[in-house]
Amino acid sequence: MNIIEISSLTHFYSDGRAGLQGIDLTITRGSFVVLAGANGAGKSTLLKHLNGLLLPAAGTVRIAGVGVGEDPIHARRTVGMVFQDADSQIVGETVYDDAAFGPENLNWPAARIEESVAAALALVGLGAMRDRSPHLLSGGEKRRLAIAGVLAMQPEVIVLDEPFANLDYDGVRQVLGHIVDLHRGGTTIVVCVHDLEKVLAHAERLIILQAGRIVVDGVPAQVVLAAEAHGVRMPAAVRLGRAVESWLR
Amino acid sequence: MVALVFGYNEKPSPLHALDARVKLAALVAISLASLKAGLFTLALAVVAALGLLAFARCSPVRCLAALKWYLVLLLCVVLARLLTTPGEPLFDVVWLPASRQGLLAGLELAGRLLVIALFGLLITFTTRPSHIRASVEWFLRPIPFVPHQQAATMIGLLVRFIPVILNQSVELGDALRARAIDHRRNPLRRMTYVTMPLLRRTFVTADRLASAMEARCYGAQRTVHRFHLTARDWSAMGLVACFCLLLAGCP
Repeated sequence: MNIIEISSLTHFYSDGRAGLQGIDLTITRGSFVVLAGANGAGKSTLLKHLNGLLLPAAGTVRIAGVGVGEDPIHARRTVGMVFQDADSQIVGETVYDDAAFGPENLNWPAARIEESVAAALALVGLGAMRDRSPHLLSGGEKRRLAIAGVLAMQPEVIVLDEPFANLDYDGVRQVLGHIVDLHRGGTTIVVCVHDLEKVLAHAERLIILQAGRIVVDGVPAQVVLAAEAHGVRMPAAVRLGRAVESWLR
Repeated sequence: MVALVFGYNEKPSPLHALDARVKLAALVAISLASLKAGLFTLALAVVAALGLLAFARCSPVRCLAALKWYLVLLLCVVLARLLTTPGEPLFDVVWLPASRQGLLAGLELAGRLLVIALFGLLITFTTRPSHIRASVEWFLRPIPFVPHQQAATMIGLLVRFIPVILNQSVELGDALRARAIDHRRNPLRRMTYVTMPLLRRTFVTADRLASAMEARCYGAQRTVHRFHLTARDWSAMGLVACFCLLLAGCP
């Protein structure tokens, strides 16, 4: 069953340039999709349409059967978005306060907020840091807090914009581990990257954008060879004729 | 280091357990009472604030170290009052117009500002920002035409983003020093090179923050924090009232 249905989506930036052109895309519930492309290909713009932060100039975006334009709050509750820059996403003065920000916005009762936040922080391994100041966390911990802030709202889909940017090896492994665990738990995952190396081993589908259009879409093993023709570097293992290895090994 | 003091720290102290509304009201009352206080009672209030900080498990020495530039500012205030207030000369030196009345006025003003800063620090150290935000919202709610939720959120964000902006300014300063900004002699020019990119970064951060808040369903209907006044809160209010009477009544 499709949870995301995009039809003929077109978006123009404020200066008149076309950001997305005629995007047709469906994503099934529980899938793990990698969205790749060079800088400026339109990846982040597409993600913002899934969350209702941008609305289509033409075409439709439907989340769990409901148009994003008709009910943006439904889209934001269903699709949790983790931004590239964790620092400007974190609004709370403590780890707990930040994770509770979304549920408070949903006007949940205090007991439900406490339960949901505690579960989200435990899931990303920040349960023992609930009273720490977010700006004292490491880069990987901040990224995990950003994920917890979205998880606390219990979304069905999580979209992550460049989740491994500026992280060291250990930070990448921690964040990747949590993403994989979430997928195993049934959450639909859409990861937006410009480097396939770290995440492709876990993906069920690879979509490559170029100049606002989908140019590659398929099972990673079958389509990854076409990546470099569209400005995305192939993983080193593929160059050597081998299968892509997980970074979690 | 500074951020560690100017922020909430979870500790098992009775001050941490007090209702945020009581603490905010106490800060306002003590600030107003200090306007009437003399030098002796201001000194007493400073000692009380440092004692309460220690009671809340925050090292008073660390607090004063974090406030070092504020203390320099207070010293400037004392000097300015000392040298500009007419009165009985303090020294028999013609070129140094320092007066006894100026010294007293400067010490009183600096004392008041120090009392307010130390009690403010005590509140930020012992109170969750979300509780400060909720109590500001609670106090603003009865005032008509004031968007209390937005005002409280703005205060919360301000507290959250001061360390971020400070870190950005340090990063910018380092980057400029790496490109020999110290060789520029004009201080205004140097300040412009730091200020303009810092403002730009701050606005970009604010823009991203707005998107992130929107993505997490920020709106008017939010969960309201429920306060519960206990016997400890009433006792604290009584103590603060007595302390304010002492502060305002004694010379």
